[in-house]
Amino acid sequence: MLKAKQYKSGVKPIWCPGCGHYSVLNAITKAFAALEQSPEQAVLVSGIGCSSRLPAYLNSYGFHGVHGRALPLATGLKVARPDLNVIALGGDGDGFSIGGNHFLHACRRNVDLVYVVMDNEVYGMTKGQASPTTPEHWQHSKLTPHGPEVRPFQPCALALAAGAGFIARGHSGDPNGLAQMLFAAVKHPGFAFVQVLSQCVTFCPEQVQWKEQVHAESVGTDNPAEAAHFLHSDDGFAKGIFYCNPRTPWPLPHDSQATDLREGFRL
Amino acid sequence: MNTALYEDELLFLAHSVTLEQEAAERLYELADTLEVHNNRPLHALFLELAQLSERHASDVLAHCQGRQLPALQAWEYSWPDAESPESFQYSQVHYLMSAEQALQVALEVEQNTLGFYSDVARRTTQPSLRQLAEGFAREEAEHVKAVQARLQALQCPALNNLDLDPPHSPE
Amino acid sequence: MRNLTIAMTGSGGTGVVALGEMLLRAAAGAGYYGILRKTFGPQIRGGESAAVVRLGPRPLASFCGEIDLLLVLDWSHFQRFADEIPLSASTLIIEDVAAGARPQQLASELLAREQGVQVLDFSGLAQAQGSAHSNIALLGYVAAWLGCDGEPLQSAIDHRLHKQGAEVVALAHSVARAGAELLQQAPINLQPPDAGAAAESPWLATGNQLAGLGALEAGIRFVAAYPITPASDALEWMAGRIESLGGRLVQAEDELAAVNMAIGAGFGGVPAMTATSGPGLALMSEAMGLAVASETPLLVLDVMRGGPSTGIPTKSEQSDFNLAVYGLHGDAPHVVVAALSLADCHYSVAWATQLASERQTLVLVLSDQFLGQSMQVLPPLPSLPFHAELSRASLPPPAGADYFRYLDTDSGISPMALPGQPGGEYTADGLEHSQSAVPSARAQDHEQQLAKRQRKLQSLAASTQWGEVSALPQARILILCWGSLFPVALEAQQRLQERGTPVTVVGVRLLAPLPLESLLRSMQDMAQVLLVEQNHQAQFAHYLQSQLTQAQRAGLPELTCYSRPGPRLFTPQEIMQQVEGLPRA
Repeated sequence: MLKAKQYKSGVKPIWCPGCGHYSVLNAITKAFAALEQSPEQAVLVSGIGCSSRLPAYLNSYGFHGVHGRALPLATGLKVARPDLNVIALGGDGDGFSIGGNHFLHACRRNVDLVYVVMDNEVYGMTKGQASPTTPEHWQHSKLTPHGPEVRPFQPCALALAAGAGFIARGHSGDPNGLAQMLFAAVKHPGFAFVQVLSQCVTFCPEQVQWKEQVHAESVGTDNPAEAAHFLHSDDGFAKGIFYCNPRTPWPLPHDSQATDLREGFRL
Repeated sequence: MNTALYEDELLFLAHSVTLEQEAAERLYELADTLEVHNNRPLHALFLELAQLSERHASDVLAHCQGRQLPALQAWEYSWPDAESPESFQYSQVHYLMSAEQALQVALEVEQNTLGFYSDVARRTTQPSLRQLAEGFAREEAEHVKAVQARLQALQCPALNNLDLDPPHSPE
Repeated sequence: MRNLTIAMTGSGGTGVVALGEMLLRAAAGAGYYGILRKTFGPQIRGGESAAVVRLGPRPLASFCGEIDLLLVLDWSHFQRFADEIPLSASTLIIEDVAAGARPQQLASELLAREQGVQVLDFSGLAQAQGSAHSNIALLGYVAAWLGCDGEPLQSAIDHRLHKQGAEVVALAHSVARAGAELLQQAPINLQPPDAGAAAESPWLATGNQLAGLGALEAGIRFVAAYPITPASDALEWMAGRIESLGGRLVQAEDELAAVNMAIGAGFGGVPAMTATSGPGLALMSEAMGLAVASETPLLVLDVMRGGPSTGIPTKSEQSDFNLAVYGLHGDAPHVVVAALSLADCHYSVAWATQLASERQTLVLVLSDQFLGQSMQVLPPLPSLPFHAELSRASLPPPAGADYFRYLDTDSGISPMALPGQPGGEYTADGLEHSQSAVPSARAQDHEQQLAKRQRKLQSLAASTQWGEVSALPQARILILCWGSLFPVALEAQQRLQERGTPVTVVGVRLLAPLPLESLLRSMQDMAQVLLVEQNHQAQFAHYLQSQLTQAQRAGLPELTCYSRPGPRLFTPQEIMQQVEGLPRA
C-alpha cells in the first residue's frame, strides 16, 4: 500500500506558486492511496494547458497529447486496454473550447473513464485569454478588451444533457473532499465528469475569493430532471456529487464467433 | 467536527501525525515550486521550514511507538476546516513573496495548529488525552514563538516588490 | 489472350452496379479473371451510375481505354460519364427498349456507326415474369453469351439476393433464364473474351477489403473510424470482423477524435489504425505529428479521392501525395507507403502495420478510390510474414529504475514500455523531451531526439519491399510510377513489347523515406525515364527531383514527367502514347 506522496514522480511542477492545480494533484494522489492504485495500472491522459502538465508529476503512465484531444486519446486507450484505470484531465479551454465536441461525445459514449477539468476560467499558458467559462464581463484580456461579452456555459449542465452518468464539482481549496469525489468517480462504472474550481492566481487573482463562495450541496440524485433543475438554478459554486446514475459502460460485450477472415473472399 | 476526536487518543494521534506530515509535505512542495520560479531565498527558507516540520512529525510519531493508529482516508479526518490546520491555502503564496510574507504564512499555520491542540486539550474528558494534547500544544507554542522571533529578526524594511515582468506564454 | 471490356449504364434503381457485380461473380465462376469498377453520381439513391467490367483469361488489375460492349438500361445523364466510358466506332451497343432518349451529342454519331445499336426488350422480358428487374434479364443474356449462365450465374444471383428471401431469388432465376434464352434469337455480334483455365478457388475482393484483411492479419486490433467516401467500406469490412479477433472498432465523433483514439490504443500496446480520405487526413495532421513526436505506433490508411477540399469524393486521384509526405508541422519523419495494386493493398497495409509497431511511429498508406472500390477476381493471396506483435516482442523490456523511454540508441528505436508494466512508467509527450521523457526545450535534447527519430527510419530505404520492378533486358526506357498506376504501366509495358518497344516499369511502394539508391540503380542504364502520376501538380516528380543532388541529377537519363489529375482513369494507351512521344535518344 502506497502513501499519497508516493504517487508523485519527483518532477517539479511548473505551476505558479499559489496555483489551485497543486491541490488537484494532491487530491489525485490521495484518491490513489485510498484506491490502493498500482501506479503502473493507471494512465493519466491530458491535452495542452497548465493543468495538462499534470501527468508528468505522477509516477503512473501518462500521455500529454495535443490541445483538446485528451478525451479521444483516453477513449482509445481505455477501449483497447480495459484493464487500465484511465483518467483524462485538462483545463477549461482544452476541454470545453477546442475539445468541446469530444466532451459531448464522451458523456454520451459512457466509456469507463474519469474526466477531471481544472476550471480556472482562463487560458493560462497563453497569457490569460477568456475561455468558455470566463464571466461575461471579465475585461482582463487584451484579446477581448471589452470582456468576452458572451455568457459562460455551464459544464455540469452540459454534461447532464449530453448523457454523463456521474457529475460532480469540487474545489481546489478542499483537496480531501476532492479526493473523496475522485475516489467515487473512479469507482463509478462509466464516464464520470468532475469539474474542479481551481484558481489561477496569476491571471484571475480574484479567484482566491472562491474559498468563501463555495458551498457544499448534497444533491446526489439519480433523477436527471432533479439534477437539471438543480444545475440550472446553481450559482456555479455548489460543491458535491450532483448526479450519479450508473448505466452499463461502453463498449458492450458481444458474442462473437471466431471467423475465417479470408472466407468471404472465396468465390 | 467529529467529537470522537476529543475522546479517542488513537484517533487524535492519527490526526496529529497526518497534520504534521502534510505540513512538511506542503512546505517541501512549496520549496520546490519557489525553486522552479527562481526565488532562491524563499526556496531556502521553505526548505528550512519543511525540515523543521518534518522533525515535528517525527516527534509526534515517537508518541505513537508500538500503537496501532486507525487508518483513515483523506476525507475521514475531522479538521476544523476543509484541510488540516497546518496546511495553509495555496492561494496565500506568490512566486515573488517576501520572507516576511512567508513567515506570516508559517506563523498563521503554527497558530492554527496550536489552536487545534488547545481545543482538544480543553474539550476532552480523558485525562491522558488532555495531557498528550497539552504537551503538543506546548510544543506548538514554542514553534509559534520561534517563528515570531524570526519575523522580528528580519528587521528589513518592507520592499516594493511590484512585478515588472509580465507573465509569458510557454505553450 | 483476348480481354474484353463491358460497360453498363443506368440510373434510378436500374441496378447497373448490382448487374456488374453479379456479372463479375458469374464470370469468375466460369473461369474468367476480371475487374469491376463503379462510378456514381452524387445522389445517395437513384442517381446515374455505371459499372465497367473487364474480363479475360489472366488476372486483370487495370482497365484499358476501349469499351467493347456498352449495355444501356437508361441513357439519362450518360454524358456525365462520357469521359470515363469512351466509346469508339467499334463499341457494340445494346440498349433496353425503355432506355429513353439517346444523348443528343451521341445520337448522330451512333446512327452512323457500322455496328449500329441493338435494341432489345429486357424490361418486357422481366415484366412478363412479374419483375421490374430488366437488369437481371440483361444479366442472363450477357451471362449466356459468356457461357456462365448455368451454375455460376445462379450462385452469383443467390449471393447477391439471398437475404431478400427465396421468392425473390426464384423470380430472379427465372428472369435471368428468360434473358439467357433471348440470346438464341438475338445473338451478340462480338466474340466473347477467351475463358481462362479456371482459377483454383479464386477470390473476389475490393482493395478496401484487402486493406482491411492486411491490417487484421498483421495484428491490428483497434480501429477508430469516421465515415468518409471512399474509405468507409474498408472500415465497415473490419467492423464486422475485428471483434471475433478480440479487437474493437469505435466510431468516433470526427477525424480528430479518430486519429487520437488510435494513438491512445497504440500507446496501450494494441496495434491501431484509422482510415480516411483527403479531408479527413488534413484534419488528422496535427495528431499524426503527435504520433511521430511521442513515438507511438500509428497506421493511417488514406483512400485518396479528387481534391482539394471536398473535391470529387467518388473518384480517384493521386493528389494527397504532398499532404502525406509534407503535411506534418515541424521536422516529423514518418513512413509513407503506396499500395501498388488491388492485391497490394493487402501487402502494403500488412507491411505498414508491422513498420508502425517496429519503428514506433506514423505509417501512412496511400490507396485511392480506384484501388479501394474496384472489385477484382484474383488468385488467393498468400499469408504474409508481417506482424505487429512479433515486432513488439523484439523490444527489450524496460530496465527498471534506469528506464529511459526515449533512449538515444544506435538504431534510433528505444524500448517502449506499455502501461501495466511496473518500472516502465513514463509520460508520452508531444512536447519535446529528454531521453527520460521529461519535457525539455533544450537545444541539445531537441537535436538528439530529432536525429533519433530520423535515424530509426533510415534503414527502411534499403528494404526489399521498397517497390516492384518489372524489367525487360533490352529496355532503354523506364516507366516510373507509384500507387495505383503500377498495373496500368505494366499493361502498357506488355503492349509496348508487342509493338517492339521494350520498357522497364518500376512501381514505388515506399514513398518516404525515399529509396533513392534503388531508384538510381533502376534508372542507371536507361536512356529515358518517364514518370507518370495522377495529379495536376506532378507532386511525386517534384519530390523526387528535390531529393537528388546536383551530381546525381547530372548522371541521370532525361526525366520526363506526365501527370494529370483525375477523375479520368489512367489507361495503358495514354502511357504508351507518352512513351512513343519521348524524344529518341
